[in-house]
Amino acid sequence: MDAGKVKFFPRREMLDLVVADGQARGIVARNMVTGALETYQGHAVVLATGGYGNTWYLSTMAKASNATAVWRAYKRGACFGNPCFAQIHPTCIPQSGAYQSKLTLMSESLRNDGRIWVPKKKGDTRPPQDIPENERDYYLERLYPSFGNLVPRDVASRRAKEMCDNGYGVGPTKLAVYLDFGDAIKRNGRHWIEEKYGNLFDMYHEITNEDPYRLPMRIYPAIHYTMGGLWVDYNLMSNVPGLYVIGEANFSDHGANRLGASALMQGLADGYFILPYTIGDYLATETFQSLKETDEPFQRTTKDVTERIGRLLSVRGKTPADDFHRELGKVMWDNVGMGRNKKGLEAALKEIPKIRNAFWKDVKVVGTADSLNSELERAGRVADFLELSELIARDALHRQESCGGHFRVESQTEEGEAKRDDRNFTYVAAWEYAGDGKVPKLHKEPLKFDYVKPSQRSYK
Amino acid sequence: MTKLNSKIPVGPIEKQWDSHRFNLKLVNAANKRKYTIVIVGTGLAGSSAAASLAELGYNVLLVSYHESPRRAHSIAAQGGINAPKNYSNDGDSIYRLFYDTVKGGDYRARESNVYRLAQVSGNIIDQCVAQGVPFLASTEACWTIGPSGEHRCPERFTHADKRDSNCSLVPIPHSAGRWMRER
Ligand SMILES: Cc1cc2nc3c(=O)[nH]c(=O)nc-3n(C[C@H](O)[C@H](O)[C@H](O)COP(=O)(O)OP(=O)(O)OC[C@H]3O[C@@H](n4cnc5c(N)ncnc54)[C@H](O)[C@@H]3O)c2cc1C
Ligand SMILES: Cc1cc2nc3c(=O)[nH]c(=O)nc-3n(C[C@H](O)[C@H](O)[C@H](O)COP(=O)(O)OP(=O)(O)OC[C@H]3O[C@@H](n4cnc5c(N)ncnc54)[C@H](O)[C@@H]3O)c2cc1C
Repeated sequence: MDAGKVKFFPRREMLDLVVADGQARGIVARNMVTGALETYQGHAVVLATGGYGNTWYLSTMAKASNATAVWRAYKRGACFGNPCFAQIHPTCIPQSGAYQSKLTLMSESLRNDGRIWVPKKKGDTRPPQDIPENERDYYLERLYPSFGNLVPRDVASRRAKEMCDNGYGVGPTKLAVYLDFGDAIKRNGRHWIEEKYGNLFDMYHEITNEDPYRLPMRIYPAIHYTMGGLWVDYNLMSNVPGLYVIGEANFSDHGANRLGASALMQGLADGYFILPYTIGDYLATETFQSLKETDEPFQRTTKDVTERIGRLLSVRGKTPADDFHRELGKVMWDNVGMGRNKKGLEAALKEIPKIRNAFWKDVKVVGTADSLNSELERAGRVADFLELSELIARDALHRQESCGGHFRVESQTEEGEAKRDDRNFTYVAAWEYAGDGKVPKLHKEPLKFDYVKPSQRSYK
Repeated sequence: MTKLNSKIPVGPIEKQWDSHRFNLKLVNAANKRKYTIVIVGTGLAGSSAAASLAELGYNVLLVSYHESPRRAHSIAAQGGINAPKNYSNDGDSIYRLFYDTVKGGDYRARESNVYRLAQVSGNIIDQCVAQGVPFLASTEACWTIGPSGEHRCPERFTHADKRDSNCSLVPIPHSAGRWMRER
């Protein structure tokens, strides 16, 4: 292997994309330790910056995951594909208090052996062990006899929310359903479960202080993955020449719902087997002007970033960025979450700009730009979430159909499943930035199905 | 005016990626070192791209807000990687993964991209092993259905205990970035 060709720059946050002569030629990043702005130049730029699930504030994603890199690229001209396609994962440990900032995922493999249920009686407050078998509703098994507890994520999540919305939720917040291993333990013995899921059971025990070998787990859905992302062509290049986007950051392969275990597969396929071929074609065919850090495109972009940081620091308000983020998250979860409708989405499109305006009037960022400053980092990320969220809501409002993780209440089958509108919506929605305060331009990339004929998904 | 061109190749879907690759221009081996590629992100996607591009001879500048590639979000993955093992070599397992992914995505993804994903992903595990990405050793190394069994066709459910090799699920890469430190 040709060692030494990778130079790694840790603790740098990309804050902008440098486009010169229409080509992506580098980035501006902030050195998070010294606060200095640095530029990195190349002949092509690859964004592998992950998903934007934290727009909803609470998600299973790492607390630091953010959308700044893709959002800055969007504002430099890269189209955003299907922003409203987000996946909600059914098996998370429920939120326990308003000040929680992160949700913990329990592996979905648990659904192989656990049975999901709620009490048949509304508002039943008995502890689970006191609820006899015939007073339990194993609703997934009831609704989907052939797939049972193994229905896809979107279906399992939506049904859990529906049960809770209808008053059957359990636990202190009533925002949870049971995932019960009692039968599996009876059938195969505790040892078998320990072998298979021991570490997950320990993790659950640690977080909730409840022993899942004795009591059923409590689970609730949470935002987990974003299928949407920057639009890319078959070569994984965005519409900005030389800007490639791979992994969760692009929109490419999962449509409106991602299957289990396929995110890593896609990220690695992009990085190992696709990009190395396609990027060569671009480099071999394009001509490049020689560029220096002191040249105009790098200077101008660095100046833009400096001004933006200055703006954040000059607000000198009283409210921490996280408070605005939490408020945004609530609007997003309530209106642009699992069940979306016109009214809620329109409300979100009114609320989000209000929160954004309040942020720019009253955000509190202490410290300076020229040193380690995690509040400044946080504020910059939240500022971007406050813009991206609006695009997500706009996309969700425009797509008047249900598909995968995007459930429009107005568009469902008699059984309450997602109902697509293939005639009008068999396309990728790619949004192009048109300037602050302007409605972005919608491009439609039609989709064709020559092999897998579209059908209504059914898991009965 | 921006015009989006998806550049989806024509022809039968099984041949599209191969013929597309064949038509791509190549950078002469000696010239690769004249090019620099800036990669942002050290999750599995960014790390695998950095490794591959460097191996080809390009200069790679890899930028991340993490202090070490090990910390990237990718290592939080609990379930594993879905990758078809095309043992019977009849293309059936590829087609099946393709089919499931298009359908599972509720017909809102490009068929050509998904087919290519199913096609190349069979090599992922071998490639990871060659790059030194360690996997958790586990007796579960060859699950037959995904963590949720989603969108698997009913046949696969009934065969779930037989460990058929159509679709093996391999436990998580324990430290996605290990090879990075070894460079
Ligand atoms: C709890 C959990 C469990 C999961 N389990 C599975 C599973 O079992 N199987 C599966 O297939 N998928 C799983 N997923 C999904 C999968 O982990 C992610 O989709 C995948 O890791 C994304 O990889 P990535 O390389 O695209 O991005 P990430 O791993 O998110 O990496 C993003 C990188 O970009 C960097 N970055 C981002 N923005 C900037 C910036 N502005 N400047 C500098 N650097 C930046 C970060 O430092 C990081 O290195 C899971 C996800 C979660 C949250
Ligand atoms: C393994 C496999 C190989 C295929 N090979 C080809 C091919 O070479 N050329 C081609 O044009 N089309 C192929 N197809 C597509 C397929 O033949 C049709 O698109 C499909 O039969 C549509 O039928 P449906 O809508 O009734 O099934 P659906 O209702 O969409 O499917 C019902 C269930 O059966 C499963 N299923 C559907 N078809 C098959 C199948 N043929 N084998 C195994 N499970 C299946 C699905 O995964 C689904 O879970 C293949 C599909 C699969 C899964």
